[in-house]
This record gives sequence, C-alpha cells and structure tokens, in this order.
Amino acid sequence: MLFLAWALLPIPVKKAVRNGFHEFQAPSWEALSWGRDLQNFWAGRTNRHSELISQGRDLARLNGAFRLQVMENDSLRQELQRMEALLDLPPRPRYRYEVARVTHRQIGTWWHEMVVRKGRDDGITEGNGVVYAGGVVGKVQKVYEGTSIVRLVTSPGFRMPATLHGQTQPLFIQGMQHGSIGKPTGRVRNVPISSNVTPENPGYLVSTSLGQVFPNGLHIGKVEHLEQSSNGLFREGKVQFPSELYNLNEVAILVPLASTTNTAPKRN
Amino acid sequence: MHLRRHIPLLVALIANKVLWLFLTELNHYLSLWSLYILTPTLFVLYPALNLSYRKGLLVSFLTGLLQDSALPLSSNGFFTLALPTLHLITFRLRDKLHREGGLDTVLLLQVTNLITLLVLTTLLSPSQLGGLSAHLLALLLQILLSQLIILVAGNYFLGLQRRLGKVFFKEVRDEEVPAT
Repeated sequence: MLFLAWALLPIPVKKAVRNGFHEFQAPSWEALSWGRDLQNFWAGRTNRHSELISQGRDLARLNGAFRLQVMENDSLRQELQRMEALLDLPPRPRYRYEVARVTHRQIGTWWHEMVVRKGRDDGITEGNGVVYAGGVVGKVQKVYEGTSIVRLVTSPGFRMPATLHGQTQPLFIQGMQHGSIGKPTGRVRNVPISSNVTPENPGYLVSTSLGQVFPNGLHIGKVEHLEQSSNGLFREGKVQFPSELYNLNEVAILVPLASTTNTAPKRN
Repeated sequence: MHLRRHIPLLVALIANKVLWLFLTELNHYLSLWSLYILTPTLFVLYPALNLSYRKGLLVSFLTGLLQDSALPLSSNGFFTLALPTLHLITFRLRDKLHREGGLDTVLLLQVTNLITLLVLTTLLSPSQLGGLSAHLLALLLQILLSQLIILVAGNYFLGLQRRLGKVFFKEVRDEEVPAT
C-alpha cells in the first residue's frame, strides 16, 4: 500500500518532500562542520608561538607577492577593457567569488559530490562553477536555502569544455570513477590528432570560457597519454586531477556578475 | 500519557538520525580515499524487531526519505522504498530471530545489506563511464567496509536503542512480541 502510494505520488510532490527533508537535515550537517572548525581552532591554539610567528612571516611574504599580482591584474584588466571598447567586442563574463566552507564530502563509487555552507541566500544558482586555489572543483548541482550541493569534476555525469594549455582547440572532459583508491581521474575527449603528450611532457588542461561557467585558464588536470578515439577523428586519454580535490575544506563559487556592470570582482 | 506510547518510535527515529549523522561524518573522512559506506539494514533492525508493524514501517519510510534527500538519487528515491522492503523482510522473520540480536540477526543483516548495496550498484552503474569493471576494486572495498561496520556495530546499535526505549518507557509494551 505504502509502495503504491509513493509510486503514484506526482514527481513535484516527491521533490518538495525531498527538499523539505534536506532543509531539515542541513542544520545538523552545519553543526558537524562548525564542530570540525572548532576542533581545528583548538588544535591551532596548541601551536607554539615560534611556529605561529614563522607561519605569519611566510604568510606576510605571500601576501606581498599576491598584492603585486593584484595590482598587475588590475592594470591588465583595465587594458583589456580599453581594447574591448576599441574593438567593440562583447564583454567577457565576470564573476564574484563566494567563498564557502565544505560541510561534508560524499565521494565514492556511487557518487562524487560535496555540500557547502552557502546557498540561495548568498546569490548562488544552479550551474555556477566552483573552484579552489588549485583549479576547478566542479559545478553547483542543487541550491537550497543555506547550503548547496557541488558535483565534482570527477563525477561520472560531469562534462565541461576545456583546452590544452597553450592551445585554443576546444575538447571536453568527463569525470570517471577509477578502480584506484583516492586518485581523482577523468577522461578527455575530442583532442586534436596533432596533440602529443608523454609522461615526461604531459599536457595541462585548463578551463575555457566557452561553457560560460568558468573563466579561461583555470587548471583542471594533466594528461600523460593519448590514444586514438573509436571514430578515428580525435584522440582521448585519462585525466589526472589534483589529489587535493578529495580533501577540500573550502571552495569558491563563481557567481556571474551582470554583464553591464564594470565593477571589479570582490576579492576574498 | 499519549506521547509516552510513542517513545519507542521516537527513540528509533532519533537513533536513526544520529547514526546517519555518524555515517555522514565517517564518509566525510573516508572521501580522502574515495570510499563511501552505506548500512541500510542497520536502520530497520530495531523498528522491525521491537516495534509494531505500522510504527516500524513509518520509521523505515521516514529514515529512507532522510537518506534519499541527502544523496544524489532519482526523485523516486531508493532508500524510501528499500528501507520499508528491508523492514518487511525482517518483520516477517522476527519470530525466528532474537529481539536482542544474535548470530542469526547478524547473518540476516549481512545478507540483506549486501543485496541492497548490489541492487543500488546495478541501478547506478549504467551511468558510470567504463561500466562496473572500471571501479570494481573500489566498489568491493566499499561493500566490504559496509559489511564490517554492520558486523561490528549491528548488535551494539540494536542494544542501545532497546536500552534507551526501556529507560524512557518502563511499562510493558503491548506492541512487542514475546522474546523467543
């Protein structure tokens, strides 16, 4: 009887029930995540002063280097805008980086996703790109009130356009669950026949703005071996994503800014 | 007084929620090795062995909804239907099982959990690139870990729920069958 009732229930009602149960659970996940942060905080408090001083010194050096890069980026951006205006080019997509903590990761052979502590309230929408310091993480799959589900680039259903570093020919990447434990892998397809990579000279895959989700040039992974595809027109091969992809605690969600605004993206 | 009658049901629901949170946290740490543990039969053991059929079914159904809402499964869900099915199987066999758990219960848990995970794998495999063989090693390891968790924690979790039920509800429960 219960099975029949559930089977006959319209899909929108099932989705509403599902969303309700997700929202009901979200505070408990957030509490777990806050608990982990608190644990890290107390673990950090036990560090010796000399360690903290040396870490602070290293961070100050990094900050100095990054400030210089930001200034350089600003001047390059202004130069780019000037060129775009001169050539009457369509505006490039701009993004706001919404930094979000990861509440928990769900990565296994059945699924590859993570839940983050930012949602609809923070302007996040489904399909937004997700990145971290080392490159591309994935896309926002579903958005709730205060949480979002991120589908990882390694997820079997994930596809995104990319290019090989230094080339312009678009190709596409697909996530893949591999038998090896803890090694994020994927598949790259539509690689031009002329492209040649070896383990000594691997090809680095970077994002392209063709999909309107990621900006150009973000690191995705590397490919060390390419083989002929079944149709004989292209080549394809296994992509190795950075191993820290399965150990992320913080990510940044790319929220597109309206194309008419010329404001610089918020820095986090 | 009316609420006291539902305490075993509430104990089962709260215990299932806490266990689900514990598994979520465990899976968070296991994600470093891209492993994920699922123990669906653990959630139906107490409701099937110690609650009336209707209450047990309600607990299984709600727990299934809870799990489906947290996982990337279709709108029809998987655990929403799988947990009531597991509950039905265990309930039918409860006259032959020890309510406090035991070797027979552990064996039943192992078999039903394995079958549930294999059905889930079969349902999800067509969407995976390279098919089942591409990730067989990781899959076997996941299933093995899940079975191990059930072996270690199955009887303990059942005993914990029974004790909690007794702490809050001392009167004889009319819904329970006599111990075998």
